[in-house]
Amino acid sequence: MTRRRIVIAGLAGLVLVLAAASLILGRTSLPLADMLAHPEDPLWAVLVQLRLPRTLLALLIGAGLGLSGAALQGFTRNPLADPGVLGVSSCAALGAVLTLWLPFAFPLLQPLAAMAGALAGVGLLLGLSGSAGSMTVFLLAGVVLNTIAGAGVALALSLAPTPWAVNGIIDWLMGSLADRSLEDVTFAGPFILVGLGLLVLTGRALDALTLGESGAASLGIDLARTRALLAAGTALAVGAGVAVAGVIGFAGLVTPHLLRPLVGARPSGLLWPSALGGAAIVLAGDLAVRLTPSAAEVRLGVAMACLGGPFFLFLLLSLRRRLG
Amino acid sequence: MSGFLEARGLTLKRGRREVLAGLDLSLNRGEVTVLLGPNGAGKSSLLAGLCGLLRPASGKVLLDGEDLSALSPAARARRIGFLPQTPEIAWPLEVRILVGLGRTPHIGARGLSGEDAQIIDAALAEAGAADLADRDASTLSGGERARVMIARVLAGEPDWLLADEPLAGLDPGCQIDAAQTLVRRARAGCGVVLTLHDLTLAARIADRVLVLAEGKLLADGPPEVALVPDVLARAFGVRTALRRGPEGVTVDILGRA
Repeated sequence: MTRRRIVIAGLAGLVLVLAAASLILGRTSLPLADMLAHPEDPLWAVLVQLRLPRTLLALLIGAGLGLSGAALQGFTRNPLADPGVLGVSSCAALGAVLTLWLPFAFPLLQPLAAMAGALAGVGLLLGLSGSAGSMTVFLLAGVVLNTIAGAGVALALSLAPTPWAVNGIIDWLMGSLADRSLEDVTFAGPFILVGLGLLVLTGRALDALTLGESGAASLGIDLARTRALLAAGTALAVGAGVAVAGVIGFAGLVTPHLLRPLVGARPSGLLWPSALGGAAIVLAGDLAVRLTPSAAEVRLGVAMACLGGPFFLFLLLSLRRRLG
Repeated sequence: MSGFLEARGLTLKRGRREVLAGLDLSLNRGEVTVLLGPNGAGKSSLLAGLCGLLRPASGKVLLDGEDLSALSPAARARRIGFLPQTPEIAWPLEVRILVGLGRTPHIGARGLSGEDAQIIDAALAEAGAADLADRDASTLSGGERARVMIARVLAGEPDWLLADEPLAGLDPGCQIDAAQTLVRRARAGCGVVLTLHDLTLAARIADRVLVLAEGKLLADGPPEVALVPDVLARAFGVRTALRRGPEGVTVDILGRA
């Protein structure tokens, strides 16, 4: 228990340091000491208008991905579960993309559509895989979802009504936190926070699910309620994130794995640490793409996929022994 | 100490298939009741129905006269503990944490108290698993795992303990240990209901034997009444001979009927 608290404190410290670095560092690093002496320095506008939204979104989206990854892995008893791998993020992107064809628009349309897409994704995932709890069926359901959503987005891309729409779709496909505004934070933030709150409520049920579905049910766990909390929480946390920043993969897959050796495998004990860990990973990834000297900034979603792909391979190799 | 778990006209279905048809049954606390029957006879379904995990298609299950479906899941789980067949252990948890999951229906939002911790230790000791408390549950052998899973269900301090083939796959020594743990609980006032495939073991530990076949009750009574060759021939299609010795009843299986 104490060890877990030390890890949580350490992660919280890491997130604070990375958040501070994310505010200060970039293509132009801000001279914070000078700025504090001159409250009317125009650089403050850069900090508040450009850097702050980026930092806050990285924090929120990372926490949402980490926590939903940990909750999905706990619910499915499957260490390969992740909103990206299982197609939930792609479904959210498809939901957002489809709004480009709607004859009307209002400010919250895209976040709502993305969340609806994510909800449909989780719902299909849980429905397709049923209560069998088989790792194979679950991952195949994810493959099916990813294929369908990917095909939908590709179709949207090839039928895009305007060049502007093409850019928008590419934005959703390859997530990025560049040039986000405080408005994006106020759109997505509340939904992500509510999603985090719902996911945390599943802790005790996830622990009991270690004993399988009938084991958990015999302990008085309401599995339908757990499933509903998980679906709604993931849809809000992942969907709202995808709506403003596009698909950012693998944070949800990687984070619980890195933390299990530190805090233990108990699913409820992994939830908060995974939220903090996810925030740290996305903050660090975003800092890395900003500080990499290249002509154009590498998109965060692409960078995360480049790091996550090999990790997925490593995970598969280490799981192969157990599955074989 | 006294208490009843009853089935009234209980019909259970798996999907569309009816696995149990209009069963009437009354079980007593303080007894070891063993459910016997061929594969697919409806034993597991009956256990799942009696602990409220499988909703009756018709009829009902009564716990001390109260309709089981009227209880909240947690209230039901506090009184009826269930050990599924081939219990799953999904994550490499410490054994003590795993056994602590048995307290789930009792604990509020605050988590495990000191009293819970004492109950968990007592359950580990009772099941002969105290020496395993700090082990990683994913590294346990079959026999160790069975002891830990029994400790898990004991930790819930249920009035009724329902176990689906808790002795399957265990070596003879482990079978005797696990069976004795369950019998001791029954003597302490718990109602113990198990499914088994070993007829001799059933004869030795059961106060009462129920023989199920094709969703119907073929026999119900003490082992020497229920485990007679005629019943076993109808249930399993085998010829048997019952021997009484100083250690109790032995059922010899002679061949196909």
